[in-house]
Amino acid sequence: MTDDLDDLKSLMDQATPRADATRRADNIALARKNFDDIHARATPEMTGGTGLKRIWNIITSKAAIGATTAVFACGFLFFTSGGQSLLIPHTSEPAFAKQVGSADLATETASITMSEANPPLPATPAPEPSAIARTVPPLSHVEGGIAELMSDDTATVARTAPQFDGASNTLAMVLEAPVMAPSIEDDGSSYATIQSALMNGQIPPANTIRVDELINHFDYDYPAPKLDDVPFQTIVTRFPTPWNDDTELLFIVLQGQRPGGNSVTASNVTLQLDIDSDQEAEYRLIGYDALKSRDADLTNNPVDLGEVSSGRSSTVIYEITLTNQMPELGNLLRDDPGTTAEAPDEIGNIKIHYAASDNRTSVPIEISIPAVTSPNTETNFATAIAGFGQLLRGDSQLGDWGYDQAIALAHDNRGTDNFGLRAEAVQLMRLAQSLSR
Amino acid sequence: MRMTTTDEDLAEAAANGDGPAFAALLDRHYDRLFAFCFRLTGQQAEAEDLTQDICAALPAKLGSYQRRAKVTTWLYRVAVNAAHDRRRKRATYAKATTGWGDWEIARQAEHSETTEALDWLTAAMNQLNEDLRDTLALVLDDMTHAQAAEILGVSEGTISWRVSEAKKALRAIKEKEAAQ
Repeated sequence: MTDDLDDLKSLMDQATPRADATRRADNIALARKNFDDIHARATPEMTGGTGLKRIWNIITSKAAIGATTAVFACGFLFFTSGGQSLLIPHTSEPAFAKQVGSADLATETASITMSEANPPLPATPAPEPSAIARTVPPLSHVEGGIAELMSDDTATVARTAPQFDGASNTLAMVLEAPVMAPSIEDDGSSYATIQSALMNGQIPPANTIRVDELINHFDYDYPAPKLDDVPFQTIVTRFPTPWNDDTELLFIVLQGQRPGGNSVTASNVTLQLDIDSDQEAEYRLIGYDALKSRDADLTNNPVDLGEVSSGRSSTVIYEITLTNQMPELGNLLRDDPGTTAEAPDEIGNIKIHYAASDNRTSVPIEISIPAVTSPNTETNFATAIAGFGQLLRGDSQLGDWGYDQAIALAHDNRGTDNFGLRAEAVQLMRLAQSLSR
Repeated sequence: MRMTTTDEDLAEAAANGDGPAFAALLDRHYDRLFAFCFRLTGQQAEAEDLTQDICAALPAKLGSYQRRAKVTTWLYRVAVNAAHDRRRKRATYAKATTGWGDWEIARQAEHSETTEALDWLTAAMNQLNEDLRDTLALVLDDMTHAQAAEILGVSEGTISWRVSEAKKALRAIKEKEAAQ
């Protein structure tokens, strides 16, 4: 007598029919249509308005490239179904084809909401492209351009969805402050890409670098999660930014429970900041370019983390500027510089939602943003890597903080480094430094 | 040239907007995907519909493809999730069974050796719960326990346990038959 499963396998093979040829053709055609729908958007309108085109040129000029490199983030707005479903609650039966359509809707809603939130933007004249190209533009220049753009052709912008290929989605990106998806499932594909590029003597293209992936490539010795109903532990810490005295970094680490008999995957995990209404705060997700301002009522865009798997951790870092202290990161709506004040302890909450085990209900967790403390070895190393990623991307927010500082911070915070991964990263940073000279 | 391109390269190109790469990838995997859908559902019509769901959703799901994973692993994961969605819908909106195969068709069909075998298969699969059936759908496709674990989002130990439970159940069915 053969193995039970061999019998079953041969029976199953006999029972399995061939795919129906007509359905096959139809289904593939449907897939291609949906594929084209997703990828064929936006471009025609982008070249339409002169204002649009002009700003597009400004933003994509070489010196300003730091403000344009969130192509991946845009892509994930479309490609992560969790993010979509958060923007548009599924009230009707969720047919797949319709879900794809709803990505459209979600994006439009996001951008329209924003347009309505800022209707009377002053039409600041956009600086000449050439002038901008010669200086590293503070974001406010770009924003000024957008102000003109929005008064110029708001409707076009609102219809314009981001797409994957190239910088043309930048505008929509900046305007829509999109939902980003640092997926828990990628550990190191971006790291591997960077490693091989640097080994070949090249600085990899900015749009291949995902800072969250770089951070999550490494293991961190965070406290082991407590075993309770929540399938992951959330560790939140807030400390001064090494590259900017006027901002703080907010570290949010979601760590899946260690694999065990009852291991759970929390799916559709989303995270959003809810800054107290008496704070004027701006924040950016490290590694992406959209600057979010509470003033613009954009804080309702959650970050989609996808799945938090057992035994894995995912790190999200926000750089926060409390703009009633320092408006320097660029403030869309404010004109006066404000006054410097001590950082307050209570600034708001982090809201996390994850799908319950029945996958139908969403479980909320709310964690208050803690007071500023000192970073430790683990967060310091992650910060060094975050800095490294941004340096590679040419992000402009780091000021004078460069490879020397990133390397020193990483080197000093290698910790136990059992597998030498952190030491290897330091080597890679040195290589990048020499290539970037 | 596309024939020599790896699945992973095609998927990456597709994720970056390369339509022909996407079409080539889907064409390459469609039949196997459909067969997997059949093993998940046990019904041709249901498998065709499930494959349609997957095809419709796949372009939007491409963003979740990570190069680290094999395309088949990723694709099967999408398929399993889509199958679960369909089951949930059926359980919610219809009184239709969420079981495996179709008893009515199997019983009305003329009696031949093939239908007897199909009958036995349907009966056997229906003795198993959904988790075990999903696991078998993968293991019978020569997926390793590790791959099945990755696709179903459970540990490898869980897969091994499920397979042994399934074998136990199948043995019990056979012993019962032998005793009759």
